Amino acid sequence: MMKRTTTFLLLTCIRLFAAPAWAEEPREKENLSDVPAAVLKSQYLSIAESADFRELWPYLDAQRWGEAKPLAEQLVAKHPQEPFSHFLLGYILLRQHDNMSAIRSLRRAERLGSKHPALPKTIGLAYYAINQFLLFKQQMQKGIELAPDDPWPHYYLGLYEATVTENFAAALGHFDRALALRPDDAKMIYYRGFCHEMLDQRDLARKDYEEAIGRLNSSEASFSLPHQGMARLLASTDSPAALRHAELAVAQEVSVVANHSILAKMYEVMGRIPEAIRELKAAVRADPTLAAPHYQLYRLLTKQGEESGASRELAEFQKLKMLYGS
Amino acid sequence: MVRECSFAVLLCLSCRLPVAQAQFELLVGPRQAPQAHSAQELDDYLEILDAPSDRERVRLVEAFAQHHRHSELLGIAYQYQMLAYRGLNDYDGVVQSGERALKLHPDNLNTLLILANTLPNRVATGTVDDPRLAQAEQYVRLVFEGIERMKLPRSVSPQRWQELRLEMEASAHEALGHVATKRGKLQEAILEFERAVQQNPVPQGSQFYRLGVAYMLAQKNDSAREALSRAAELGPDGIRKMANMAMQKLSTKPH
Repeated sequence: MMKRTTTFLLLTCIRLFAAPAWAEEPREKENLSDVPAAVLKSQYLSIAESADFRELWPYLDAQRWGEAKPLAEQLVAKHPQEPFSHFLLGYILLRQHDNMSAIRSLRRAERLGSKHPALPKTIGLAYYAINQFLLFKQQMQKGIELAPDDPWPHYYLGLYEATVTENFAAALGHFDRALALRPDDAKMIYYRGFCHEMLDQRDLARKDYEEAIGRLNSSEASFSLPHQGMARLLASTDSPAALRHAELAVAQEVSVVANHSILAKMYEVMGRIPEAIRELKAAVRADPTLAAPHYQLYRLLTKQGEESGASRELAEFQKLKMLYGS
Repeated sequence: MVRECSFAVLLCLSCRLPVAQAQFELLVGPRQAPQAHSAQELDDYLEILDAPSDRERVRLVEAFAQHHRHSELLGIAYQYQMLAYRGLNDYDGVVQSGERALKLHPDNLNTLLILANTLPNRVATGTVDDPRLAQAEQYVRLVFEGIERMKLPRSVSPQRWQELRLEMEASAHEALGHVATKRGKLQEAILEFERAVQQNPVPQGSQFYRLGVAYMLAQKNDSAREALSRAAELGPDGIRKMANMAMQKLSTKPH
């Protein structure tokens, strides 16, 4: 059971912490990655041997959080002084996006003396979910102190710097540290490349994107951003290759707005205007708050002589720009 | 004539604002979110949200303000205190905590609207130059300006914003109608209350009640009956009771 407990936590801990905050900007619309295996190995979990936990386990394993929650609450009621029971409940609540309640449970686990390396990371992500970034950073630093071999706190800090503060030099440092501990991770490699791209180090960016694509190909994982990045990089120098990457990006993740935008751009470059319009409309459907695709539509519809459609798009662009600023 | 209901009940009429329910400010983007500097500070803040009663919430906000004097969360904490005081029908409490909240977040539309709707409550009808009425109007002006300037986080869709905007504007018109009523400008009051009920996508019993009372005062009894009956239908209980009482009084009057 102990091994299974560990395995469960290895597999699920923070796997789905796709906190809405990460998805504020189009390029952030991807789930956070799994917490690595090593983090939970250190602590003996007496509670894992209990019948209550055995009952709870299958629901955790199946990620059936609605059914797991009342059982975790029972566990807390029976073992109120056991930090792990509070940790479990907090974890489940976080997976249900009940962030405030999750924080309360996780903080209880902390106050009860849990030194579990997964705890600071989990609380940190809960803080992130409610935009409490200072506390998020404090917890990630704690996580790094408790588990120096764990790449994930570095990764989360990197994502934070890349997407919230847009301090790409700082983000690059975090991704470098994460990759030193987990060199084969395609997402980490992609994000390091993204930082290079933002810092105008295009050769390094391309190298990382290509490496990320290579690793994803062998794992068949669905992660479109390296193709999107390649399409951006190649857009001005090699249109056919850029188009190919953009098409692959959309095929892999149709819900990512920026994939449609770059594909539309490449279709336009290649003179395939109706297809460009189709992609821009897909971008608008995927994120109705974005102003830019409406402006692109206005331009293309004007080119096509569709004046009334064009003026509708221009009006929408102006409205959204006023509301959201971009 | 229906005497303007007691202060205690009037406080309950203050607008129902969606923003007030947000735990961390619906209309604030992640990059602008106020930050707790310690886990204890956030724990204390969360305790405010969890308070079992309005009285306890008021106390917890005071304690929070003492322990975390420079907290970035203090402005929102005062908003919660303002709402708790409203629940307690404590006029002075609403005004004091609302003004504290405004000092920290001068552009907060939620606070501005609640203050604008609350300030006229203690002003006697027929008073023209009470500074509280001018202050309420000033707050409404700031609300209209703030709505125009608003930059939204992407978590709020354009459709949701449109609803929120209409609700806030309706509440602002309600406040203006309230001010006009106090000044004895009945036609102006009716116009503002009519705007409020017409544009609010979520019909509010309080706004129909105020419109009904204004119609009564203007001797427009049929319109008054209609508005009051809608207020009674929409509730909540306090409004329903007042609307029914007003309709009883109306029943003795000719159509």
